[in-house]
Amino acid sequence: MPDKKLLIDIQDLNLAFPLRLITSSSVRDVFISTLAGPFSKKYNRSTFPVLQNINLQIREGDRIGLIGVNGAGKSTLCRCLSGFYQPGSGRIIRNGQIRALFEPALGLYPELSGRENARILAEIYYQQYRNDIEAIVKESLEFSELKDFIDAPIKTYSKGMLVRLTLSVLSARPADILILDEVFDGADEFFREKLSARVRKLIDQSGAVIFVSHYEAQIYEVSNRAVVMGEGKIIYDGDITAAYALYRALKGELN
Amino acid sequence: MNNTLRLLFTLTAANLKSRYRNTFYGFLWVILNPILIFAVQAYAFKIIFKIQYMNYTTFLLSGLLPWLFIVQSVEMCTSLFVNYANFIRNLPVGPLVLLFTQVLDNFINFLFSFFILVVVFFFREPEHFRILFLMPLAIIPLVVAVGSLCLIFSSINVVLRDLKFVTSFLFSLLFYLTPIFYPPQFIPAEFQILVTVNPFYHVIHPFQILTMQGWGTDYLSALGISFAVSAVLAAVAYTVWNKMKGYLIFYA
Repeated sequence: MPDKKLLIDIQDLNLAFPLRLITSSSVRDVFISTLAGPFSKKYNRSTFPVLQNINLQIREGDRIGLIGVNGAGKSTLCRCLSGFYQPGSGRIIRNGQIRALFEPALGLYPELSGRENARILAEIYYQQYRNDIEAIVKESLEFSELKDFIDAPIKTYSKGMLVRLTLSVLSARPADILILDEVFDGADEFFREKLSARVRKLIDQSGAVIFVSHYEAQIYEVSNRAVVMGEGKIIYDGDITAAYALYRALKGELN
Repeated sequence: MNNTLRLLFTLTAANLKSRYRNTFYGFLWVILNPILIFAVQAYAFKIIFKIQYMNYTTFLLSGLLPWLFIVQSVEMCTSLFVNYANFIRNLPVGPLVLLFTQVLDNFINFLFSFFILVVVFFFREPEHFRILFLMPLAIIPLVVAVGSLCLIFSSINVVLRDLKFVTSFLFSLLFYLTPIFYPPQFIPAEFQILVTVNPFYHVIHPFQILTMQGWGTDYLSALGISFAVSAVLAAVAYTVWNKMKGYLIFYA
């Protein structure tokens, strides 16, 4: 597929978690330890690698299923791509707008209504659809089927209702690069079916998609390429069936 | 930039709306809170301690309102990155936008509390009412200073989580060390250094000069110092933020 437009190019990405600052984390500790020995202060300079030597090219049309056990670095990689984390070293080149969703039950302003929260979400996520925001909000609220609850403060919502609201807004328009990190968890069965039809449409219309899920069926349904991560590294990139064979072998080793 | 500003205003409006939703009294409190603090202090210092100084009520009010703006903003912002961890980890909204949303929110409250000063001037010194139009010059460095202080404290709080206890302790000390309920002239010469090194005093002082003396070289020089102090604070804030922002995400 080298003729397809390159949307994301990750080159030698590394990210390490600094251990130093967790060890002394209060002003009073620092004050006392400085008094105890002002010149003997030793910093723990060691770090814990979270992502190591990541190289990944994502082109238009790629629907990547990102697979790995908990703590393998999947979400961290997605957050790096979204620009939330500054990489320790390496480069990420982005040719397009990224829309990433990590927490579908995120209640932004508990005191405000579903309608108001939907509007704020739309303002945050659809900056390139500036003139279309009214329509996006209206259409998303209809889709969510929250009916009378739309004008109730979201502090009265259940988790499933929050998921409906957030996902309805976020799936309203296609994106250049779409990142969906375990977003289906929490929606009820009926709504999940309705939603996955909408998300599939969204995926079809979007440039490239990174899909993180622990459900094999979902990965098969959505993806055309699989990336397996383990201990902060990419250990496989390619065919989905082969990826799962490798993943299962790895998990067997771990157990 | 345009997008960022738009987001800043959207989130500030959401903040204000969610705070004052269904509570007219919540809004009233914004005005009532400084009035009560002011009334108690005016009673204590003017009536009990009998401080003799020009127009003491106006003097006290002109220092107290900016002071409350500083204290409330810094106390609300210090643990902001920790409180908003959920936003920072999950939404494409920069941490700085969240922080300045809080500062802007407090600034709007501060402007409302300023009506008290307007009312006091209107009834007590209508002939000097127009000097209030020169106040925005003093507000600019105050806002820069407050934004910088909030950024400094909130950044450090990311790694030193108990900072908010330290700041409220510091502010309770600083209230007595900063000439708010007493004029700087009352301080003996050997202790003047305490005022000279106090950045809070320098950004509050122009307000006091303006309400006491009106427009003049004293106001201009106080303004000059205020701008200089706020520029230094902004530079410190920029440096601290650049050092800490890489860690933010791991600790938020």
